[in-house]
Amino acid sequence: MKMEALAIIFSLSFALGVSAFFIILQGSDPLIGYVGLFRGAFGSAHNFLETLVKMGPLLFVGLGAAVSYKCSFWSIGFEGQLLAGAMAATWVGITFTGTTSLLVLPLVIVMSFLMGMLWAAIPALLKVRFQISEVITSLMMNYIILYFIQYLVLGPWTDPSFVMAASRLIDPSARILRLLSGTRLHGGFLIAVACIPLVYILLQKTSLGYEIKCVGANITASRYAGIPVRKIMIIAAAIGGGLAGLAGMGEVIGLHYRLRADISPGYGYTGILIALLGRSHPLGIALVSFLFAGLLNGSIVMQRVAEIPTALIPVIQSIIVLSVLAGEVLTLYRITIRRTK
Amino acid sequence: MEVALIAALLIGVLIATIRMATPILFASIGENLTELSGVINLGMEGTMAMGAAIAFITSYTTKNLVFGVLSAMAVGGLMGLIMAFMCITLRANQVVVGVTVTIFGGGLATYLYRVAFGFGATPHLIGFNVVKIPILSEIPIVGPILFEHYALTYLAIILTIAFHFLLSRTHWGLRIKATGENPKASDTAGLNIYVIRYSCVIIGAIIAAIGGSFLTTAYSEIFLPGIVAGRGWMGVAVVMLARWGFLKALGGSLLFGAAEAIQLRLQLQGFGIPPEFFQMSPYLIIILTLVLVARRMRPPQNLGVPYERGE
Repeated sequence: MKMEALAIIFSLSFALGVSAFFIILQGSDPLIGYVGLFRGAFGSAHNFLETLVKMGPLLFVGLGAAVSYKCSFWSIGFEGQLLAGAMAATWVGITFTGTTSLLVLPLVIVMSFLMGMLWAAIPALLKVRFQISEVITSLMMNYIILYFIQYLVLGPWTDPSFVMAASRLIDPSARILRLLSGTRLHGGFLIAVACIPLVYILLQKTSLGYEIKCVGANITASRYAGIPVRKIMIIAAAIGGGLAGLAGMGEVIGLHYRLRADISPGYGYTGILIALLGRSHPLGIALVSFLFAGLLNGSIVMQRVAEIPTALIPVIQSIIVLSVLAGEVLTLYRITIRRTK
Repeated sequence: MEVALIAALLIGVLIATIRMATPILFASIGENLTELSGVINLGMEGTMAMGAAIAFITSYTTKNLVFGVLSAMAVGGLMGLIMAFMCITLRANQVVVGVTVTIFGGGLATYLYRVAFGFGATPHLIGFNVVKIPILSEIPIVGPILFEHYALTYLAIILTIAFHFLLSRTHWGLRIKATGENPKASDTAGLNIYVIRYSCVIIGAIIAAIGGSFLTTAYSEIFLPGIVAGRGWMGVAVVMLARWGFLKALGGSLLFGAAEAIQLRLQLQGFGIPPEFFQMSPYLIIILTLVLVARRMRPPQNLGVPYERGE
């Protein structure tokens, strides 16, 4: 764990170094930019809380991706599963009006989780039934749900009085409380944090978790050992999708109170990187999602003070992943370069 | 509707089909070559994004579209080099590296575009003109459908035929396929697995980057973040659909090109169906067609398996 933390810190410095090179080329000052980045992420109570607001969905997706990847189910459909969850939450929120949160909120959570599960189970089914690579199908599912939501927010669910294409507001009973008045930090963040030990217990302490890891490590051996490989893979994918669905739910019931097609600035993709960096370990994922939420949140200030486009952030994040991956291989195996005769 | 009008509409759709198929075809040629050598490159989407951005920026600043495409190729080669180094030399998980390279390329493309043009503006460039092939384009109906396209479209088709010939008729093709099927045996037979795989990954990425450059120098003349819109992934899907054949991949690309072209026309016509359902149709079709051909798919045996030279 200590080695891994060091690897991430080293890779972060490396990524910031490479990016500094880009920033100098564009004629800005990386130091001003990075100070802005840090201030924007953690520099004030307000900024710090905003970082936590962005950490919530990243944590959900990171944990979901971890469960999926532990089973070697290489889905990249978390963005779509997030949207599916957001859609389900909105449906509950605009359908069941005038009752109490005690009834509606549990329903919101269950429906969002189920919808995320369903959206992830389709590529999983196609993989175990037809051996179709989950990478492609899960990605295509992202586009399908995106356009479906665009249809909903322009069509049947639209709110014509809102400036952007968006659904009607969800009923107050479907909204989750804000943790501090005057800030945007909401109860969804607490649910995400609660999922850290839950995923840890699932993966480390239950037989299902053990079977997921077996299938992920060696599918043939698992089959011979009598593990229902297909079932386990679908379950792992579905749990991953359900967690991603909760990320979308949080954005609707805690933040926007309505559905929009642009509800996620790519949380579903960033979460993939987070799961890879956190070594699919819940605590590692918590730390990395905090770091990545900070990068995402701070980038707005970075752009303002040093004119460095926020699009640099995914570049920094992916360089971190690539250098951690490279470092991992270089330390695990000693690569020797030998001249061939 | 009059017959002439329907005919004109149909011809329009067919022309658009070939145009829309071009970037997908470039991606599929590159991916096919890469996969036959035994490496999956899932960074194609990001490589195309880089190609699109670099081609746009270079073309706009130098006022030379050919420079634009050439610089996109150079950057595509670099993206391929990253992929190759991570997957071949370091033997990292190819799916993981590919997805990361896609996020990297998408981010860097938008970053560079914003650095070049600032935050508010969407500059336009004057893109390539359509090249009418003399005599052939004079043929009624067939002429405008097949022989009035951008030079890059012709290039994609020439590359398809060239690679089909290279892979099925030459020693080079055999060597590449042997590397993907059984690297150990090929190594024993004296082939240099690393050189072959590095070359295929890098050349494949260069070809995909040309597909990206098509989007900004011919097809749309502007750059937008997310302009590739899944075409790199479609290219990967086409390779599976075509069962690693170049000519079949041309067919597959045309299929998705047609889905996009028809979708655009239907959106204009309406028919009372919300346009979003047409927009999602190409992605749905990909999943459905994959299900249809799944039983007959047989990928290269060592696809995605890093090769480690034993002693």
